[in-house]
Amino acid sequence: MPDMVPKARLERAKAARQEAELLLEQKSRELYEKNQQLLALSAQLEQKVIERTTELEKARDEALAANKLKSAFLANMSHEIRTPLTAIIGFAENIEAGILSEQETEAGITNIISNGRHLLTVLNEILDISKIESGELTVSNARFSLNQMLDEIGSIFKGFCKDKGLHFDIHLEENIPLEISSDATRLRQILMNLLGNAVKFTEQGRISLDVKYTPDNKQLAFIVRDTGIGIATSKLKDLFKPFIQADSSISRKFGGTGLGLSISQNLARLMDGDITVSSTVNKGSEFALTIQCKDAFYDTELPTDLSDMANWKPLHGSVLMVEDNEMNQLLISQNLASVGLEFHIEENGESGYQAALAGEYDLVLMDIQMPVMDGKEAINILRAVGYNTPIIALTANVMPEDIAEYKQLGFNAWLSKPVDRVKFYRTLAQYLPVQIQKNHGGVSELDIYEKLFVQFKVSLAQYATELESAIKQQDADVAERVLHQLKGLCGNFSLDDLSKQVTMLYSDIRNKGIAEIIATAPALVELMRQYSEEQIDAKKH
Amino acid sequence: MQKNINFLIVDDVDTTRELLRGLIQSVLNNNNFKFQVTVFQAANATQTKQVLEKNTIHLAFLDIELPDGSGLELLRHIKAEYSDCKAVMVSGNASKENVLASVEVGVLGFILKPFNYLRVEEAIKNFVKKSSS
Repeated sequence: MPDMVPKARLERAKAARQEAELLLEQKSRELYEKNQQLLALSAQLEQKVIERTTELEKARDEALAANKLKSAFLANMSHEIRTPLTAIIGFAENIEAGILSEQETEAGITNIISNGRHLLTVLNEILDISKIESGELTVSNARFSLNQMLDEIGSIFKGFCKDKGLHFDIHLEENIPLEISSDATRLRQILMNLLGNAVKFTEQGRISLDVKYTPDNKQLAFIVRDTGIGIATSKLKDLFKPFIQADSSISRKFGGTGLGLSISQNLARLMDGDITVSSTVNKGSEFALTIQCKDAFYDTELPTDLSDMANWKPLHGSVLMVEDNEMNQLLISQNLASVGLEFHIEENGESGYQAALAGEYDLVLMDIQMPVMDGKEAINILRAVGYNTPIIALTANVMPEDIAEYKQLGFNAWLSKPVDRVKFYRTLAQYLPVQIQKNHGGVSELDIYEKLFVQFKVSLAQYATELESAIKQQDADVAERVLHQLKGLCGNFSLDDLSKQVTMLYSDIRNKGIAEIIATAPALVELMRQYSEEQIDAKKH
Repeated sequence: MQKNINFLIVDDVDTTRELLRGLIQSVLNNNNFKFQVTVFQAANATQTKQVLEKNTIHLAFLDIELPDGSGLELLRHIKAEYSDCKAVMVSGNASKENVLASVEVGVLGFILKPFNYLRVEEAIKNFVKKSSS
């Protein structure tokens, strides 16, 4: 009986169906989940696509803006290049055509040169900015004269400012080193850029450059101030970005590549410094440049001969001269004045050390042999009471044992009489700073020298009489003093024949006593009288 | 070198002491010394000795002419009794006698009146150098 399906079979089939249903349900749930996951993934993907698209759009916009900027820059640049080129070609053609007067031709050539130079600047700026962008810009390091650079920059901008009717001044703090180790070319470039901008954007008022130095970290600060059009606060942040001038109309009105400040700031940072700016519209701007010197020097390359005396840099300071001999006082005064120094004279060691303690001198020149108190006792007192100002011995005695004694007494240096002008200057320059910013026409006072020379020759008769009577009275002290004075003076005035005799007699009396010169002195006395009479005769005629 | 330093100004004229105190103050302000300074004052020799007894003075500025004695005597007293105390002479008279007598006993400076900033600064710098070496 087919209907008679065994009950057990039915049960089995039912169970199998139930199992299948369960499986189906489970699978369909899994499917559903996968489906949901897929949906989420697709939504995410879509989100990502949207995001990427936005990013791409932004990048495209940026690229377009940059492109536009570079286009604007190129347009501006071609204008910057075209203008000087127009001038160069125009003037050159006119000169070639021979249609200019001689004067016009000269002006034309000047114009061609200055426009050519301007083109070079533009080219250099473009090269610099591309080096900055590729990280290839470097700074060098060498010792150079900061003073000289500032002098040169100062005279350039004094001219520019004068042309525009602006005041210009440079102020240097006293502790500015004479020479520094840094990149001279780049420092000059930055300063020229900052000062150039100041002049460019200032129609009236003043431009100033202040220089400060912090010895602790060898930092130099240059502050450029102007009373020009100023910069709006909103534009300050873009000021140092390349290709951007505060206002695109600026470039049309004032010219320039708009790269200068960006380059300058990059250079300053390479020199371990920076450029910062503060500004008020219509009041003016202040740019502060800092750089770190690799090294700073207060001494300088000093002159070695008299031939370039006109180029000697005047020194700065106040000098106390302690010297009893009038003629030497005059000669040394002249030397001091000619290198721009102020001075005060004391006649002996006692008034000398008192003046030193009472005054504010930068240097003391101390004669050794003096009445009342000699130079050795004076320096002894000064050093004992803690007087630290440099003291230089002025002396006719420069034997090694003398020099050793001066050093031991606390003299910083010694100068032999007659004073050698080059050595005088070199020695003083070791202790006194070079004067800055004062116009000094070099060293020339032949007239006064001539007068002193005449005066000295006339006075030789007096010295002769003094010497003669000292020998007659066997007064060795007076004779030695007279010869000592003469020794210095004759040398100063290059009276070689006289100087030779005096030196011989002086060494004789010093080493062997007065008896030794009784025989030789009359010849000298005669020669001195001869000089004196010659001079008096010459004066009469 | 210690952190707290005591200076003593000896002079019989109030305004002179004030003036010197002012100069000392500006020297301290202009130099970056790493110590605190307390400035004591005395108008005559007797007061000076009292201040010296009660306080540890590191640097004394001594006027030479005092109503009840001489700054030079004070200088000798200080050198004998307080060997750690340094001295700077202050006087309107830098005569050879005054200066040589001071030098003989030992001083860090000789300040001539009217005061001059450089000398005061020099004296204090000498003091710093001597104290830290």
